[in-house]
Amino acid sequence: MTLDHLNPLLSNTKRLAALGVLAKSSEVEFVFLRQALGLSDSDLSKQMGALADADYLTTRKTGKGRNRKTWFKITGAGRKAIRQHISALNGLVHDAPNAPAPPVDGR
Amino acid sequence: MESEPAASASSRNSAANQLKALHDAQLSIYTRYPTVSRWYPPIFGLLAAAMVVAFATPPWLTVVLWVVVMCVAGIGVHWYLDKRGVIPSGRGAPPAIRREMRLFYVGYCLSIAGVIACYLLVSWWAAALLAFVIFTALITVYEARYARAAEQVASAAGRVELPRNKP
Repeated sequence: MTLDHLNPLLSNTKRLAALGVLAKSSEVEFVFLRQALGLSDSDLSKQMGALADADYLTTRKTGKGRNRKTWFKITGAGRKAIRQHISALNGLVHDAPNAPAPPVDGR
Repeated sequence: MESEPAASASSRNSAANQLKALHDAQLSIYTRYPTVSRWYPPIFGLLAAAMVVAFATPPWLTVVLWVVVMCVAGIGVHWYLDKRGVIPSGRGAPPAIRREMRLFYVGYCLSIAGVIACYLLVSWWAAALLAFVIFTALITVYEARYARAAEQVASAAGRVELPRNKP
């Protein structure tokens, strides 16, 4: 496994973590994601915008005014991308003789 | 001779760090949740009792009551998930959490069986009372056990979860 197998968009840890949460959920709300990842509003918006541009997630807005919420859902392309990226990361880590890492799957 | 360029130590470390960050973020689905108010379990106990009472009414009223109860339960679940901010898919739940979920479903099935038996062998009002008590207790115990499991999972991963406001 080489660095070529890694998805450049997901090489950013924030984007990888965000898409990883989406991969294990039916839907995720913006505030939950922001708190879980410890990001600012603007940073998370930027990362999610990049993932949406790549068609890795869809966005749904609910409520009005102060109760307005933004929900994210991973797409099939996003699920495939994170699965391949995780597989590449696992391959890289397991190439190392003494470098155990928590096995993570993207399903 | 290697068939592929060997990954450098730094890229391996970077990959391991990425996997760790991903793993930690995914744990948050199960460890970050709003604790429920004390009224939440008795409300679900009441809904379970109402479903039993519905059987003791004329058929048309049974249907109406069931629809009403299902709607109220649906609104309650939707409200909770909206507050929680995440709808776990159930895939890849940490083992400690999965165990609690399994226990809950076993308890849920046994409770239904117990209420049905009581309805058939004793009376509808005894079954309704049992449904209220048993489902209130089931949800109370589940919430407490889930909280303990989530705390264990979070501390094992070295995460410190901030308390979240009650919905």
